[in-house]
Amino acid sequence: MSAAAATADRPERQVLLEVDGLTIEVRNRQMHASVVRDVSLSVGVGETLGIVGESGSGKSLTLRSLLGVLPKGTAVAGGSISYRGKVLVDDGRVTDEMQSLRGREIGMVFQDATSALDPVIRVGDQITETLRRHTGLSRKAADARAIELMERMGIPDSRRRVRQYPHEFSGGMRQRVMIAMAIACSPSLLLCDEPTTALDVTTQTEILELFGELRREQGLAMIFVSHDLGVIAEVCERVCVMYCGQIIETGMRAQVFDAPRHPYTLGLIESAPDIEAASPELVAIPGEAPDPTVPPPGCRFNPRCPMPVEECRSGGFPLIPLSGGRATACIRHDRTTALRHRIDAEAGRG
Amino acid sequence: MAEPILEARSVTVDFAHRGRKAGHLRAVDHVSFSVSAGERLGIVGESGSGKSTLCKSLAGVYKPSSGEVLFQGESLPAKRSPELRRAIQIVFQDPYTSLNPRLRIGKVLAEAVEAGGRQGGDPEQQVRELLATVGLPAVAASVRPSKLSGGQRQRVAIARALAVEPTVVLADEVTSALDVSVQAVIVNLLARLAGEHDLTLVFVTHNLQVVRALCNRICVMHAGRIVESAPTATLFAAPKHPYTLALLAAAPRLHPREGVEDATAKPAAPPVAVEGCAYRLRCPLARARCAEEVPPLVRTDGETSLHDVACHAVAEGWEGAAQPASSTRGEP
Repeated sequence: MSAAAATADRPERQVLLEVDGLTIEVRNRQMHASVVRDVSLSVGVGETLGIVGESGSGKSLTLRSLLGVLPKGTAVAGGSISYRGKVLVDDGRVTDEMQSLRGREIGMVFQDATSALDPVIRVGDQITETLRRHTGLSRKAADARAIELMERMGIPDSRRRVRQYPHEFSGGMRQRVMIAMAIACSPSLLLCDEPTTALDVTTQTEILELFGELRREQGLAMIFVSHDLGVIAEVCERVCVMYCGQIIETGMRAQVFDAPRHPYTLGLIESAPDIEAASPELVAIPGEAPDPTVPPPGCRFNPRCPMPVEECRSGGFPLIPLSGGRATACIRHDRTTALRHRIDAEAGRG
Repeated sequence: MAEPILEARSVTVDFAHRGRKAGHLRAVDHVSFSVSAGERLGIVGESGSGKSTLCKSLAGVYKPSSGEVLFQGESLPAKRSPELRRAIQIVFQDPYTSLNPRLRIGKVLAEAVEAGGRQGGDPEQQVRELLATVGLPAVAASVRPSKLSGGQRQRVAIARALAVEPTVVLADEVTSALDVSVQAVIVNLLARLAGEHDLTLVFVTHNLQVVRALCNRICVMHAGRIVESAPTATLFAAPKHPYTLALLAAAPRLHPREGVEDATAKPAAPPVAVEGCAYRLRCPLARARCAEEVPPLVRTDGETSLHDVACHAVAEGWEGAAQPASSTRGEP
């Protein structure tokens, strides 16, 4: 599929993480239904992958499943996940490997640093907790490492601040502390769940630049989840667009955002044009996002699609490989360019 | 220019520091502006800029520590009459907390209709009309807020504001909690309703995309003051204040500019009270004068430009703001 095609393009690509046919279910007394269905993706060494989607699209669940930190009531029900050949999830069954990788090989940055940090533990101790657990570093050495990491994160006066508590930091600085925590063990892969959503735009820019530096300097691979296409564009080379629990389009960022091949991707772009677009008009996607536990039959986007045909209303919609390692779930993908011209003309962006 | 319908004159809002010996926090610092009938004014700023506090003091939620708010030329009293409260409505950011979870939507709107003393027909009919106005089906009247999505709840909150037939609607970050596609729906709905109901809109947000789509004029706030105010097109084409430039440069773009160094931003400084211009700690143009006196908001480019900037460097002729948000996409 897309992963295979990308590998063909770049023979030297070393796969770090591979997800194949991942399905996540909600299980409670009322229901037993899948919320993420048949998601496949892969990340190579040093690559950055963005997962874009709106609330309920399953993007955060997908990310959390990679580290085995799904919220209560949800569980991996199918598919497999492997990391450098180690099988983390085998046909829906989580193996014991996850625990040893978590924090050491794979780090995670959450959206809300305020709730992700422990309010009664000094930030220095939180930063080095995983490090001490995995390497048995002495307390003194760990403190020195914490100061070094905080300096690297651009936290001024880190020698003093390493002894402070989370409430003594601003939102942006707290996010830096969390990134320091996530990279303390020098992982190869960093998972980021909306890490800048709660921040102001100018602070967001600083944090995004920090991610860029980490990537360039340490060859860190990243999976970056966000609802903000602009943020994804600043950080990621490759993107997956999720809708209602499925990946509906994937490919290199520049291609996907320049010439989307799925009407939902196009809808996202048109509903939040960037501030340099010729016309500021926001073109809304009609209707409401469906509940992924009771998806509409056929293509899940068809009730809101501006160009549906009869075939869209039944059957499954697997990703169709396109050239350049791209893939789309839309059977009418060849018409998205015309659709875009029409929408742009109506919005005065012609 | 039309008569101002809503006007702030040197509005200042101070909050007492709790648990500290002395001092207060000045959230809004001598802010003056006016909005004319039918205008859609955007107030943009980051967290802590005082934009929401300003919005709430216009709504009467906070009483200004000094200065006054005028409605149709008359100073608003601390305790507003029911007519005044009806005339100026506010819609809040969080549709999850601004609606009573125990009340069915029909009841929420019926209460507002009753409070508005609206003429014409039975309340149930009016509730149905309100729901239709904001694009919700009539069956929505019989459910509680928990059954609705964020966008639907925000529609209810807008319907509730419209129920009393207001003159001015203040919208405080109403799209910030919503997904981008839903945000587009709500922004377009507000634009349509403002036209249909002759509303004057004050829209507070941190999102530049949204104000660009919705507002005719924009005020940029920083540290409790308005630092720049201009018609929307002017602000995006020729921003002048270094803070506005930093904000525009920071907005993420779908097609990131390669190798464009952003010359106007230094790391965000902690919000401490400083003498002079509050932006000088981050400002690349800061000069001695900036530490001594607060730059006043003054008209630039001639009286008719309606472009006001509060910056000593700009007042002294700095024009480095040539093409901050200009297109590098090569589009027509």
